[in-house]
Amino acid sequence: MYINNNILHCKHLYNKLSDNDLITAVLRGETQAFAAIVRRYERSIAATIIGMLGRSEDVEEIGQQVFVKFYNALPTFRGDAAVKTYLTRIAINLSLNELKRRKRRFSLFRPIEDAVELRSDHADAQSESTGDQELIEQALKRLPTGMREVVVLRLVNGYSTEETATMLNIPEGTVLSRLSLARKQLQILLKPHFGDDYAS
Amino acid sequence: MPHDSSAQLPPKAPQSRLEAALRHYGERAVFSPFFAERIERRINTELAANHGKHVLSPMDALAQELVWMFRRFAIIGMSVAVLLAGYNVYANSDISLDAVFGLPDEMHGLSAESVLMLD
Repeated sequence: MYINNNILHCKHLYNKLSDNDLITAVLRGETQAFAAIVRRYERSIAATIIGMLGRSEDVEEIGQQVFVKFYNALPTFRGDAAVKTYLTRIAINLSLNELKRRKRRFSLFRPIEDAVELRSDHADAQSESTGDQELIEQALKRLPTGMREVVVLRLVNGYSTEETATMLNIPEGTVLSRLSLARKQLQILLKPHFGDDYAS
Repeated sequence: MPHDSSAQLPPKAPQSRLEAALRHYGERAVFSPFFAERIERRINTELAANHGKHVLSPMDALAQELVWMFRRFAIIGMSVAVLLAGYNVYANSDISLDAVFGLPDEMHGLSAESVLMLD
């Protein structure tokens, strides 16, 4: 009980520390401090990876790879970019690698997959929300990679245009133009399912 | 089949309804529970594995050191021997084994060839 309380107390303390303090603690050998970093950013990293790849078995493994890569890079981490930016860049790069791998593997079946219309397997009233999620996921998958990464960071994760541009290392103007094109494409894809509400 | 998603999404301007749906999608995108704990375990396992690679028993460490020394000195020694043998051949203008090893012509009736039973 004493040990459990100590662990909880420790976790609570770590959650209060800044990213830089947590990194210092990790470099001292406190892996629990790294767990606090993971807890702090796992949601946004999950949204990034799932937005890029869709829900699949690889998502968990890629998520783990993002944080393990970051852990291994910590001794040389200079703090030029925020932890969030650094992690998101790793997540985007690993997702793009995974997309390339999938494209190589499934290139023969791609035309058939593209020909299938957006449809949800959960169209009944009880799982309407799940059905919407699936439709959005399928619509995201139809976007070209460049547009998808902008939509995932700007609209799914809610980062600002400036943050998105920094994370993707592209000009803000490019973010805005890709976003505008992606919005139009998403509206076209989702209009048959959500009606005119989404398509303005 | 068209869905009316107004039940899940707050009433907003039409332009932001798409954004709200995407944000909602992002909020629901999570890893399975105890993700941080799994990462911590993975890192600890990797650390232990790497640590294990460097910690050797004294006998293994000695053997590794001897192999390292052998490699280093054997290459140098072989190079010197080849150079000396080449010099002997060049100096004696002869390619016999005696000349290669720099042995005198008469060595109590023995020659390198006879010792090696080449005659």
